[in-house]
Amino acid sequence: MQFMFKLILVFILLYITDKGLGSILRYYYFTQESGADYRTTYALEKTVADIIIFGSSRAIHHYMPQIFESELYLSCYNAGRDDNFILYHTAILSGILKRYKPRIIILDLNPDDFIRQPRGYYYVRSLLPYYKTHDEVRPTIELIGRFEKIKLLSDIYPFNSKVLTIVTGNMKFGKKRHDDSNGYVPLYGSNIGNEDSFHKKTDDVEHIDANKINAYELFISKGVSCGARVYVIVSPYYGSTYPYRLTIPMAKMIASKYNVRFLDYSENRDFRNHSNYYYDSRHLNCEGSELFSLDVVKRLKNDFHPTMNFGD
Amino acid sequence: MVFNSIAFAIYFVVVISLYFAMPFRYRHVFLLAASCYFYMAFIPIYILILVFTITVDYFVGICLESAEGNKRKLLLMASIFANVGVLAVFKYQNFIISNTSSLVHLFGGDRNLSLLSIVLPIGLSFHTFQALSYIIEVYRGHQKAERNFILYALYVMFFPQLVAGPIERPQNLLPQFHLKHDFRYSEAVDGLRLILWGLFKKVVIADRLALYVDAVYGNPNIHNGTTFIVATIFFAFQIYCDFSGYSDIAIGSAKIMGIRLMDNFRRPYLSKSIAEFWRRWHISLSSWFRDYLYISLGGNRVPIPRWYLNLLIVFLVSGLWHGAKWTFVIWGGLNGIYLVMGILTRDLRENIVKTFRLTRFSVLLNVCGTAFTFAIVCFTWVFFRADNVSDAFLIIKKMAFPSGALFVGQLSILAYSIFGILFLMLIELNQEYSFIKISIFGNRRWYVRQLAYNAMAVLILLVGVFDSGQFIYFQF
Repeated sequence: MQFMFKLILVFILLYITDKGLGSILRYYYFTQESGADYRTTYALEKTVADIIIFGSSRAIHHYMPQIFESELYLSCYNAGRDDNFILYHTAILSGILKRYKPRIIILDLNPDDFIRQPRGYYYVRSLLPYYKTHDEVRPTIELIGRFEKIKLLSDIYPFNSKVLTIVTGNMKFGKKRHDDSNGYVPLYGSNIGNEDSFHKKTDDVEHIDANKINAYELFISKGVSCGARVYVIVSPYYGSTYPYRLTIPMAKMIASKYNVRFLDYSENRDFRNHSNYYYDSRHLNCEGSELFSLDVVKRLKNDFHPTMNFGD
Repeated sequence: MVFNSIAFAIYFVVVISLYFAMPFRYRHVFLLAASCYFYMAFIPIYILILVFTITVDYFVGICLESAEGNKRKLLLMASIFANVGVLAVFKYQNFIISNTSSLVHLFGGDRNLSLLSIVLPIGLSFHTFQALSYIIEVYRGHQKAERNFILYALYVMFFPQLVAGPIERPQNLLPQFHLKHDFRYSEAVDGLRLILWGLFKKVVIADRLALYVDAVYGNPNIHNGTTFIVATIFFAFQIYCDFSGYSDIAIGSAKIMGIRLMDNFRRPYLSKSIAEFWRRWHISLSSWFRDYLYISLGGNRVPIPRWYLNLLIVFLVSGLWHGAKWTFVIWGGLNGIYLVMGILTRDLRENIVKTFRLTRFSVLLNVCGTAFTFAIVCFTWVFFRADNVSDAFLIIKKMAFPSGALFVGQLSILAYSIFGILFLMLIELNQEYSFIKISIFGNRRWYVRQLAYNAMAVLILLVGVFDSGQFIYFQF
């Protein structure tokens, strides 16, 4: 009896601590002014840009919004996020479409985006803070595991591993440190070495993840249904071998089903062998991303009737 | 069903509640059924392996008591053959096949022996050794054969220590199953504290360190020596926290039920010599090898060269026990060499300390001894962690000439990792040397204890990694 009483007391105190500390963390999470979490919140709740760019680190570092804006006379926001892939982007797009309809949606696709990863859907954790306030992200979050709903009864758990980013995101020097222009983060210099671009051993078997394919198709169908022009782009990478074989053909097939333009730069000679355009084998540097953005914009312009004012 | 999962928490609450609610005469059947359920949560069909080995050992144990002469040896061999045979088939078949194939190829034959694709049953090495411990003790006459099949099966399958130890001895565990254990407040509290601390070590420290270690060791061609030095130190703490965390949860879970399991770790990184390290690291396994292999080979009651050979053999076999890869064998062999070198240089070291009267600097000596032991142990961890021998040598070559900037990746991973290691070292240094004479978990004031439990739980929620999956030693 004494044991049960004390155990209940422990849980009550833990509950109070959880609610109190959770509220503080939630407040400061949403007052961040810089960093990846801030950009996710901005994309989900604030941006009304005409052009939205989605993707992982290759999106953040490859697409310069100022080039899109100056060439197409449309506002542009880069909603890419490091180490986050199609499940995340579909959830963010769902949230954006609840508020407004962008005119152009660009998805930067990685050649391994449909492959099952050893750590499962760990990256979807970046959406945990939005679980209670955004219904549209819940199905994605619940893919993490069957007990995720139970863990989310805790108010602290959504901010797991985020204490440091919450602190730096609320500090003025954090804003100064993060060179962030409408979501785009430039990389400088070149560190091309003797590494394998996608760290895949040639005899590794590719296991396709059906959830990721479904998310990709949902992304495209949502974008098309809202009347936006949707583009799926495989941006350049440095290297000569192409280790993943399944994602790109499947992605192309699904894109063509919805009449969505698929631009594949993975074999593009203008970029592939120019090491000075790359920060590392997976990411363009500032110089490379400028050239790439200009090339993408040129292709976007070609899609429109020459007499049509792009800014209409 | 891993210990750091909600599924296990639900399972454990149900099992404990029913265990204490039911009459004593049904408890063992229930506990055995619960242990079977626990094991079958991994790959259900593999329960048949346990059924086979348990049945063989149960009957062999009974027959051994009444047998005499060569028949006793034959029975012992039959049991060893059955248990080690299962281990060989499921764990070492591909190692044997691929090495045979390489040898054949070396002598001009075709390298076309195909590998089998058999998933290793979870905890196989652990429960095999626990079963062997029983049979050997019965053979030696130190343990009476257990005539109750349910109790013997429970000895092998007791779920807290079924998949990753501690590897128990029949003299310790079996008698406890014969006794009735009532719920005891103090044991329940101690057990829960151990579980909490074990969970903290696993999800806050071990799994956080794993994020950095996996990123570095997974790409040996990219990273530099400086990064590998840090990653190897991180791995040292990762494997310690992962394994000792599991052991703590196992020991704590059993303690709540009134069952006392043996300690498995005693702050091994505070050891001042490699011999001391092996008295503090994975105690249940090292004592198993000492009692059943080392002593059987003659121990140190043989000529000196044979003594050294015995040590090497024991550690090579220990390496192989950990995994069917040459990296593990090398890891074991290195530890054996360290022990032999330690013995060879013992007199020289003692003479140096005496001659230069270094006992005046005992604190400094202890610090140097501890640091040196940690460094040489970390060297062996390179082999333990590397994917293959050539990666291990590449990493060592880079570490020998460290250059380049440290790979940072996500700064938060480094920050949380360093925090975890420092926190752990503070706790363990205090446990070892008691420089802060304040007990936190065991404090007399209830609000201090409550704060401690809260703080630990909050740290687990805030900094814990929840998607890492299994414990490292599950693969053994």
